[in-house]
Amino acid sequence: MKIRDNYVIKQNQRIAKDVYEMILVGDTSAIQSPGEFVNVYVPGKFLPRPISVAYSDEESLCLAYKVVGEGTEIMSQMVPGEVLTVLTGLGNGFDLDVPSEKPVLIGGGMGVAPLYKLAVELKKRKKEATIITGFRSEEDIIYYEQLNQLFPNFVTLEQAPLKKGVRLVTDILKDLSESDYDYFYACGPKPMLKAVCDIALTDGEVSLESRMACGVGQCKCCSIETNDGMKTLCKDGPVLKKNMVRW
Amino acid sequence: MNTVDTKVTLSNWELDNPIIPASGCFGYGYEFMQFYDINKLGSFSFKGTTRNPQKGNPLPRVAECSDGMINSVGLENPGIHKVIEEELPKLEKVFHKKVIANISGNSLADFVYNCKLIDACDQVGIIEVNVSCPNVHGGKIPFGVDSKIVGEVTKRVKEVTTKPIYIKLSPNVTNIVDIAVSCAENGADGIVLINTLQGMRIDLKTGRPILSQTMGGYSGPGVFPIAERMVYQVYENVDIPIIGVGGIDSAEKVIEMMYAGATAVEIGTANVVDPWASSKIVDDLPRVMEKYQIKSLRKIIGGAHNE
Repeated sequence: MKIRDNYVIKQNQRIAKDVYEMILVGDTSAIQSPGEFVNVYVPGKFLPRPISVAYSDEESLCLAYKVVGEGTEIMSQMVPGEVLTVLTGLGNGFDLDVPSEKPVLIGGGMGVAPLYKLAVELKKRKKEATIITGFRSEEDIIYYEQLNQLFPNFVTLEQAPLKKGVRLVTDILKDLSESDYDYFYACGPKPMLKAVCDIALTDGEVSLESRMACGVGQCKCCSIETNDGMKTLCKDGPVLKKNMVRW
Repeated sequence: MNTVDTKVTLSNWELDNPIIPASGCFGYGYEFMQFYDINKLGSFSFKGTTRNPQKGNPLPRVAECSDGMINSVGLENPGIHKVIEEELPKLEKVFHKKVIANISGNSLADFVYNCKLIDACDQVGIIEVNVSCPNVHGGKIPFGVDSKIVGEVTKRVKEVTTKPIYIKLSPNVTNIVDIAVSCAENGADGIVLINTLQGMRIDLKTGRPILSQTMGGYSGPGVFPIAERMVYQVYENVDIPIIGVGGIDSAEKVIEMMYAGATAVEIGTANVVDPWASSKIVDDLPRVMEKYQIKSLRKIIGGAHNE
């Protein structure tokens, strides 16, 4: 099910460098699993903006977005009380039914946002997860406290190493052994995702991104070739199993 | 109770209304049953289908414009055999009207092959031949830019088919009328215009084209005046029905396009922005007809040409 409706902005504040968190109040019943996204119809822009859901509950959804262009710039200037049209319930999110007791969650930059809801759901299911998040610098860090309250959250910074030789999330992942995790969930820049898939000792899944249009798998503007044929990232993705992705 | 008549007729096929989602924006139709009952539509035109499966172009395939979008999907489709064996049976279960089959080809032989196969499908009401695709035997220049070649395609597909053949024309030509006339002279039963306009965008962060293919097809509300002008011009020069397409996103624009000369309209990019777009236009049409005191849509076709 998908719902296209008007949502009222409850909060829209800066949480890191060029990054904002917007809380929208409205019907969230179409949102099924962490890792899904919504299409935000930004006033004055022709195509909707696909933005991943960082968190959602019965009455509101929370979007974390980076100002990268005109559309997100307009969004960042909106204030509580204003209304946005949003198409919710889009995409294939993270699989919570995999037989895993101690998954590792790996996020890079804005890719950390959908891991927040994922971590909450894993905690509810009494899983023992480990989180590795990587950012360019300290001012880019998002959701550190929230994630750290749920599971151990290791943070790496590309520009300011916390300890010698550790700059990337994959540096930490390499230090983990097979007894430390039995599955992985990853979201972030494509080179990071590829490196994670190469290094990881287990099965897992990655959340990919691309320019999109319809959000429901029909226009084929975000189709990629996978080991299981052509797939649209907006409908069959954004989360794909590691063994499906052709790098 | 509806006091207005929304019915229109394309080549002896009576449609409940002139609203037809356009090819490439509506899949094989059944996918939209999750949004609304697609039987409320006049019909729809399915995804452009080629002889062999096509993977389409690398990403990025889409760039935004102020009043539309540019795509370079590259006719990604499962190929005609899979469409007939898998997609049409899925559609038949949920859609109880005839469908418009959008057929593409990279050679004259492909067009003949595809049209012959699809002509045998009972579900198909009209075959819509997309001549905007590149001709691999003609220096990859699209078939649709040369009136002689378009005429040849028309003639050859008419020879192997029994269903009405409508030729979907490219607007990227010097004289749309010459090409439409050539279609009509070679036996086309109707004309569909327009396909997308060639365009491009450059990413200011990189200074490079956004699309992997550099250029793509511009569609959306921005092309509506051009589509309407071409429908108007072609209407004056051919006697076969015209399906108007290009930037239509409201019942008002449906009526405007019909005044210009369209017997029916296709809704394309509006479905990309809002999956319910075509359904909303069907719902809104009687209200807008009443507003402008139009009792029958049939009676306004080409009305703008009246003295």
